[in-house]
Amino acid sequence: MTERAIDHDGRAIALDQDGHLLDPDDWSRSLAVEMARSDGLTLTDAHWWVIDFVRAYHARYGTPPLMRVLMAEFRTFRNDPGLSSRDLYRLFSENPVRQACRLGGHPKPEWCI
Amino acid sequence: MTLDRRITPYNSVIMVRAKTQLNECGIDGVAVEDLRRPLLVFFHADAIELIESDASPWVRLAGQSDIDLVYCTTAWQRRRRSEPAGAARPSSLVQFWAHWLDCWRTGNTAVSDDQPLLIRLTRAQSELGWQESLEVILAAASLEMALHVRFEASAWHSLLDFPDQRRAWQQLLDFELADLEVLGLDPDPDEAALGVKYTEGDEAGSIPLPADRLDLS
Repeated sequence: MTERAIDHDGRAIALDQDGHLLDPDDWSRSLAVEMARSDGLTLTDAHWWVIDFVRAYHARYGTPPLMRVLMAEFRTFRNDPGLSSRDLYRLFSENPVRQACRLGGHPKPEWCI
Repeated sequence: MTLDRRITPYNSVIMVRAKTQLNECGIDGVAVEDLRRPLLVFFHADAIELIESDASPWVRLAGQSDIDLVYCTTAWQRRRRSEPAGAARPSSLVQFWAHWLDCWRTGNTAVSDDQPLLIRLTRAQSELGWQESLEVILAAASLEMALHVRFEASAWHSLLDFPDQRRAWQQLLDFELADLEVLGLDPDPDEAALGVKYTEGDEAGSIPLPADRLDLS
């Protein structure tokens, strides 16, 4: 596996070939900001809500949420039933769940869902 | 550009999850080789070992007309580093369910619109077995299928032996992705509070099995 690294606070933080942290304990909110910047993203409150939700979900269930679940909870958070997955893709164009996992310090989901 | 509106080319779709003999597998008593064709055979979990060798009877199935063999790439990568036999193609659980649903929409699978799919769990499994069974269900849930999951007592006890897996399965209830029912056990108040439904043992035998079901163990 080809590994990469991102410089943060004077340390080289190891990433896998897809940009996920090799050691989840390296994660911090400031590192997430740095990783997002390298994606061309400036994290807003909405981005943070998604990242925090995915982290909390992973901590509780040990898996990332389904996109369907994230979408439903995002509608509730924004109190807007008219929101669609396009709105999440506007925040995370790569793939909302996968990108939030990556920026949230979790490994790449190993499943194919 | 034109869009190909053709739905699934398959008249039968079957998932194989255990290392079983070809002649032991089928749907409702119909052997795999006798299922309506075109037929899609999807290999998942430990069944991926059935497609390691070109000499496997399962792989030789692909030599018959109108039978496609596909496998879950994640299940394969968890177990093997080499490539499977040439006859099988990579696929995913979501693709399996998409084909299954298309089969239903074209009337080839006996599923009604107003009834959830029944998923039966009848035996103890390993921790990886529980993880992969959950993934099958989550893949179906990702397509917004209505799902009812029914555990027999031995299967439920087995899941409880793996607290991390039990915790993962709770997402089905917490986010209304599926109902969970346990047959033949006295209700556990803690589990009932989490949303698990218990059906009395003497009721179990009288519960009809709809045609639209999938046995995961």
